[in-house]
Parts: sequence; C-alpha cells; structure tokens
Amino acid sequence: MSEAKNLFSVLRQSVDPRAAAAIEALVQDAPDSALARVNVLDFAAKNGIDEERAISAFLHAARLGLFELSWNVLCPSCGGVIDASLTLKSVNRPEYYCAWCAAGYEPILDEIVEVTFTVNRRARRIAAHTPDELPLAEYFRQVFWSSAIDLPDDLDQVIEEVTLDAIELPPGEKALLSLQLPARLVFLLDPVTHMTQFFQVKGEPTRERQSLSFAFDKVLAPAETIELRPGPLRLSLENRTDKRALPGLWLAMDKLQELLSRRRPFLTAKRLLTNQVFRDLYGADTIDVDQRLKITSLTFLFTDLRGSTDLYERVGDLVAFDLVRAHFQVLNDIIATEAGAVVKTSGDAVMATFSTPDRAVAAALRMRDAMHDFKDSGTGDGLLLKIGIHEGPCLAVVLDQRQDYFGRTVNIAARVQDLADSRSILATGPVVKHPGASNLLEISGLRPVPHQRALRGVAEEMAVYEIP
Amino acid sequence: MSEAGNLFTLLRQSAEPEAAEAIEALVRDAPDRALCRVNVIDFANRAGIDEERAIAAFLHAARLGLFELSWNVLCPGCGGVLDTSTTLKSVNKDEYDCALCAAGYRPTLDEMVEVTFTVSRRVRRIAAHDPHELPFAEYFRQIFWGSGIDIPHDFEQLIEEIVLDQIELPPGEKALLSLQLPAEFVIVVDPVTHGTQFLDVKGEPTRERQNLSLIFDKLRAPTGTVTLHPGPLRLSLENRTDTRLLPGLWVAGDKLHDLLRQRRPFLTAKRLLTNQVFRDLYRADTIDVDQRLKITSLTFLFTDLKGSTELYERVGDLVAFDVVRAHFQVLNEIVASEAGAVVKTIGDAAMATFPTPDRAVAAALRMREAMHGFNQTRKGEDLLLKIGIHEGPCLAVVLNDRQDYFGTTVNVAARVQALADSRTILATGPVVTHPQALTLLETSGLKPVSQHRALRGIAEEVAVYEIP
Repeated sequence: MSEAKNLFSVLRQSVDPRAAAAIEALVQDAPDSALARVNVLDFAAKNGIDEERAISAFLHAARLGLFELSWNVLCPSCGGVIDASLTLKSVNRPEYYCAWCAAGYEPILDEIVEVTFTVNRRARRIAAHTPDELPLAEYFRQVFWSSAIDLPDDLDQVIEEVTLDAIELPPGEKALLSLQLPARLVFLLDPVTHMTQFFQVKGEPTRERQSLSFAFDKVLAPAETIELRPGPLRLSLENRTDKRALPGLWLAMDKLQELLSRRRPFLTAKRLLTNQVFRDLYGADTIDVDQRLKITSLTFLFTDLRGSTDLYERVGDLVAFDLVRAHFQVLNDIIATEAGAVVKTSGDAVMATFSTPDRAVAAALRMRDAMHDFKDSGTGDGLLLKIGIHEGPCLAVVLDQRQDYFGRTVNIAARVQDLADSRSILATGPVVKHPGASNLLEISGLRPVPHQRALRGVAEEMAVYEIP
Repeated sequence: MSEAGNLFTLLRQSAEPEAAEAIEALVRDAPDRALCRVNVIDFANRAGIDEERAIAAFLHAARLGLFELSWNVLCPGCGGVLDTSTTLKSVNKDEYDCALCAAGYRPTLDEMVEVTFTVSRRVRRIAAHDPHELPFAEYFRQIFWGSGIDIPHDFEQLIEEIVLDQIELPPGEKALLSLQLPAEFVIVVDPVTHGTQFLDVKGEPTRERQNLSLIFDKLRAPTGTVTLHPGPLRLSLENRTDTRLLPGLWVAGDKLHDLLRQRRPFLTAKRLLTNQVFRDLYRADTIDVDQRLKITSLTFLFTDLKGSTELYERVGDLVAFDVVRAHFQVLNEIVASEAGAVVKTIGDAAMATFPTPDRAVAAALRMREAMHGFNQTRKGEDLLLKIGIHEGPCLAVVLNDRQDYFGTTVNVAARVQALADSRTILATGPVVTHPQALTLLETSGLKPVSQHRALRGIAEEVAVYEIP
C-alpha cells in the first residue's frame, strides 16, 4: 500500500483536497462493490463535492494509475453495458446490439456511452477484478448494469423474486434445469454473453414435459420469441464460451421494470470530452484518426477580440501577443469553471465546447464582464469580445492531431460569432430557448432580442438572438 | 556498429533511400570534421540530393539518435557561433553580443539561427565530441564558425598567414607572448570565451617594448581598443576559466575579410520551422510557452473551401467530413512538397507557412489544379478553394500546445484569404513583387491584377493582387 499512499499524496497536490480525501477514503473503507465502475456524479452528490471537482479528481487519479477509466456502451433501454473498453478508440462499431431489448443503437456520445472508474488492482484488490468469480447478483450489479441504474442494496432479494431459477455454468459445461413455467412472459438471460431468449407462456396448462436446449456462444444472434404452455419445462444449457456463464430464467414482471426504471445521472462520454481537465490530461489520444463519433447535442462558443488587428498595429506584435495570451488565460479559466473546454485557438479567436447551452451562456456573460478589467495599454479602453453561441448535433473527430468537432453546427456557431458586434453576445434559438439558459437570462435581467439574419454559406436565414 | 546498423535500416525505411544512403556513407567514410555541424544544404548540393529530402532525412536521423540537432545563434557580421544549444528553447536572450564584431544582435530566426547536425557519439566517435582537444584551426572550423562560412581547402595555410601568433592556454594558466606588431589592425581573440581585444597598431614604429595583459574569464567584457605602435609587444595572457583557451592575434586585413566573405547557404531555423517533416516529428516541443521569436520574413498561405456549408447540408456531416479530410490530404502533400508546413486547420480552412513567397505561389497554383482533379474524381462535386497569400515579419510562438505564429502579417494573410472568391488566388504586393514569384507567374503566363481593397480591421489599404 505504500506505493498507493505516495500516489494519494501526489493526488492531493494536483486536485481539490476534499475530493482527493474522499477518493482516498473510498479506496480505504468502501465495500468492493463501491469501487467497481464508480459513477462519479453519484459519488460527488453523496460526498457533497462539486461535480466538476470530482470529475477532475478522478481523471487525475486515473492518470496516476489509482483507477482505471472505462468507456461503456450502454443500452439506453435496459441500462445494461453492451460493451466496455479502456479507450474510446474501441467504440468503433456503427451499431451496438442489445440482445435483451432486441434493439440496435448507434453509439452516440451523449447518452449511449458512459465513463466509469474502477480501482486499480495495485491500489486495492476487489472482487470485480475477477468478474468470473462474482456471485450472480453482484455480477449484475458490478458488470452487467451500467452506473446509470440506481440499484437497491437488496438487489439479490429482488433478483430472487424476479427469477425462476439461475445457475452458474463453468466454461464448456452443460446443465439441466427442471422447472414449472407460469403463464406469463419469461426469458432466459445470460449476463456474460448477453444471450437472451424470450418465451411466451400461455394457453392450456400442460402436465407434459416440454424440453428445450440452448448453447451459449459468443455470437449474439437475435431470436424469435418461442411459445410454450404453462407446465413443466426441462431446459438443457451448454456453455460453449471460455468464461463462466450465469444463465437464469427471468420473469418479465413489474418488479423488474421498476428495478430498471430507477435511473440516476451518470458521466457521459460527451461530458468528459468537453471537460478541460480531460482535454489537458488525455489530449488527442482519445479518438482514432478514422473515427467519427456522433454527439446529439453539444454547445459551441466562439469568441474573437474586436479590433485586434488595429491593436497589433498600434502596440506592435510583441505587446499584442502578451495581451492576447493574457486574455486567453482569463477565458480558459472561465470556460473551465463552467464545465467547458477550449478546443483550440486561432489568432485571437477561441473555440470552446460546453455540454449544455446554459453553461455556455453563463461563461459568455462572465467573459464579457472580465474583459472590462482588461485595458488596452494604448487607449485605456477595455478589450471587447465578440461572442457567438450555437447548439446542435456534431461529430467528434480527430483533425490535425487534435480532438476536434465537425459539422454544420460548428460552422453555424462560427458564422454567428462573425455577426457579433462589440459587447454583444449572439446566440441561436436552441440556446436561448434551453430552459436552463432562459432561466439564467431571466435572473440576470437580460432579454434576448431576435433578428432574422442571413449566415454566410447557410441556406436559410435564421433567427439570431442578441443578448444585450 | 550493430545498433547503428539497425538505426540505418530504420532510416532507409522512414527517409528517402538515396538520402539515407548518402548519410550512411557520410557516417562510414567521411573525415571527422565532415560529421561535425553538418550543413544540410551543402550536403544536399554535394550529394546531388533534393534539399527538402536531405532535410527530411537528417531530421529522421536525428530522431533516431544517429545525429544530434543543434541550434546555433550566429553573428550576422562575422558568421561566428555566439551560442549553441540542442533546443531552440535556449534561444531566449533579447540580444546576443559578438565580441569580435563588437556588436549586439536581436535574434531573428531567418538568418541568425542556423540548424546543424552532429553525428552522435554512439554512432561514431569524432574529434569534435571533445572540442577542448581540437587543434587551433579545427576549433575555428568546427566550433567557432557557423556552417554558413565556406572555409577554403587551404585554411590551415591561410591561418598561418593571418594569425601573428597563437597559443594553447590550459585552465588557470598564464602565458607570455613576445612578438613584433605590424602596422595593421590586430584582433586578439579567444574562440572559446569569445573574449576579444582590438589593437589599433599605427604611427611611428618603435623599438621600445610595449606591454599588454589580457585576462579571459567567463564574464565576457566589452571589447576595447588600444592604440599601439608598430614594434615589439609583450602580451601577457591569463586563463581564469576552467576550459582550455586558444587566444591568438589575427591581422584584420584583406585575407581575413576574404575568408569571412566566403559564404554558402545554410539551414536556417525559420526554414526548419516551416518544414512539414520537422513539425510532424517535433510538434510543439520546439519553443517554450513564454518564448516569442522574431522572424523577419515568413510567407503565409490560407485556404478555405468555398461552399462547404452547403456541402454539409447537402450530404450530411459524415460524408462532408470525409470529403473535407480528403481535400486536406491533397493540400498537405502539396504544401510539404513546396517546402512548406501546415500550421493548423480550422474547420475546412488551412493555414500554412513557406520560407519564401515563390513556394507559396507555386503551392497555390498546384492546389487550384488539384482541386479541379479532386472534383472530377468525385463526380458532381464542385469544391473550390479560396486562397490568400501574404508575406512579412511575425513572431514564432507556442499557442494552445502548438507551435504557431502571431502578428499583423498573419492577420492580414487571413483577411486577404477572406476576400478571395472561388478559384481566385489573392496575394499582396510583397508576394507578387518577390523576384522568383514574379518569374514563376510570368512563366505560367499569369498576370496578377491589382485591386485596392480595404481589409477588415486593417487601418491602411493593402495592395491586393488577383492571380487569375
């Protein structure tokens, strides 16, 4: 533990001390299950720590090797983890199929990909490090379901109630299950292979034994629902994989629906990509050159210094550079505290992302205020920022050795910024109509004024709102 | 040599084979001094290899550890090396003094910083690895002078003629030189400390012994001049440093001036910064965050895809991304083959630098052609490039974890690009009046048309030329 101790003292130096202390306490005292796939937002709420600080602390802990970061593709319907990987680079299939829900999903980074943290085995050994040895309920809790499901403490009892029977099936082995089928929808589910088979049990009860056999292999083939009659069933199961399987016969009942409907916020891949600490620590090494990952909604904020060219000419390139760099520093700080990230700068322009429009609007208002204190040494006037904000779908890509974003939304955001005059913040409809953002504007006593504007290269005119 | 043998195998895979072989032959067969501070341009000319390929090959060789890259600050007057370092980060003084020329110079990356390559001691041991054991003439040849001085074959004989006397002075020791001063301007200079004393020998010859004592220490005292009479001099020299010194008396006559006037082209820091292979291999690790290095003349080329926003709307973000990326690939190749480098891309815009305007104009013409072919292979696409070119002074800086450029010149270049319409190339006066660029345009039968255009944010009108 001495190596881990050293790492914790490094962690305390690099992140918020309270968050570091909470993580250290977690690793020291929490039960094993609380250290597998930690839901950082839940951890923050339970410990009364600011979410951004908790995310930043876990990212540093992962960078130090105390935790391992995992990118899990979720089934949005059942909340199960369809695929888990140490890097977003492995999220490279156009579609992920949930056998249980019999549905395929495009891996969009907003809601389908979660990021969790599992303690490193060198920092603490936990049962989930050998998932094949976890008991059934714990396997479902720690491996099968994502951190989006708020599972009850008595999960084993609930599973007891909603399953007819379940067995542990070592690799290569066979087993026979004999049971009585009730007249309802039941399904056979193995959480390891995700193999699922539905049975519609209806009609006249029978005393005749019905027999079925299933083999688990690595292929996830969708299967049609099989009709059976209430009565005795003999289920022969064979595990053809090289891992232990945990097949069980589940009852599709309200209790199960209730279990799955208890959701809690979780750390999405999108939120992590637009986090400044993540960008700083992981850089371009997140996405492969050939990946293009969809994000349904990301908020883009562009800024540009007004009259900067004039300024360069007046004070000279050297002085102007120092001034521009100092203003970048101010903007960076504001963006980071509003949970955003700077994607890049170009000249004296900045491109930043936020996970929601309200944070971008809050950042823009703070930027405008901060620029007051920024005096142009020549004229004594404050520097003026032109700010544009837009929200919409985009692609997360790697361009020019940098994790970047691409698409119409990015273009429009840049064009909206182009229209901005001094001191005005321009935002599009989706931004000012976002509930959080419109709330914030109301509280600040600001009323956005719409103008129909033509954007260069954009087909239709669109409403652009000026935030006075 | 087996480790080096492996490295050469790697070099042949990563660099152009002809250049790799020439470097291997150099390391195997050349005399020691030809492996110290190699002038890559001179090497390319002698070996009959394209300069860009030679630069690329040496950069790969340095990356593999076969050579060590060195950044040397040169005196523009005498061509001596004022400071040398393995990284440009050490070029951080506002001014460098040349004691020999008794002048201070602000470092600019155009002509004042050269880049040379010295063979690594693990690959081949050469005398210059222990510079303090080099004989007098070799110290001047290999250490004191920059690679821009074309030292003649009869250098040793020439030294005999120019140098009145010289002595090897071990650390801490004193020496007395007795000699006859001719009626010439004589320079006492030590090439190790650069300590210099001017002796203005004139007037009536005397038979009386004149005495002078000089102390060399690490504090380089400003160069002074004493007036002496032709006749006997007793010169007392003291070495208060911890290295061997090589003080000598040089006659500042025609022979010395002829020697210093023999110049040859050399690899400048500017040329390396704007080389694509260098950018790819060394990335942002070239300049410190707080450095701002002046470049007197750099050529900037900006491109933007016309109608890209419509393209995104028509074909969707995913397909548009692939098209935009493919077009970047085409641009990158053209930029690299014209000795330029892509600094960054912003959306579908690219910013590139070139050492001289003619290479940028050549690249622009080829880009326009290439887009024509690009559209034909993608039937129906009508992607047009808007190109702007400008040349002028700028600062080399690090911004946003990337080696970047800053200043009015960059701004003007971007604004000129923004004025461009489809298929036109816009360039400023300094670009089209550059002799080679002019020749290139003439031979291509293109006549630039002057248009006086006001650039947004730029005070004066700038002469902008349209290259049809």
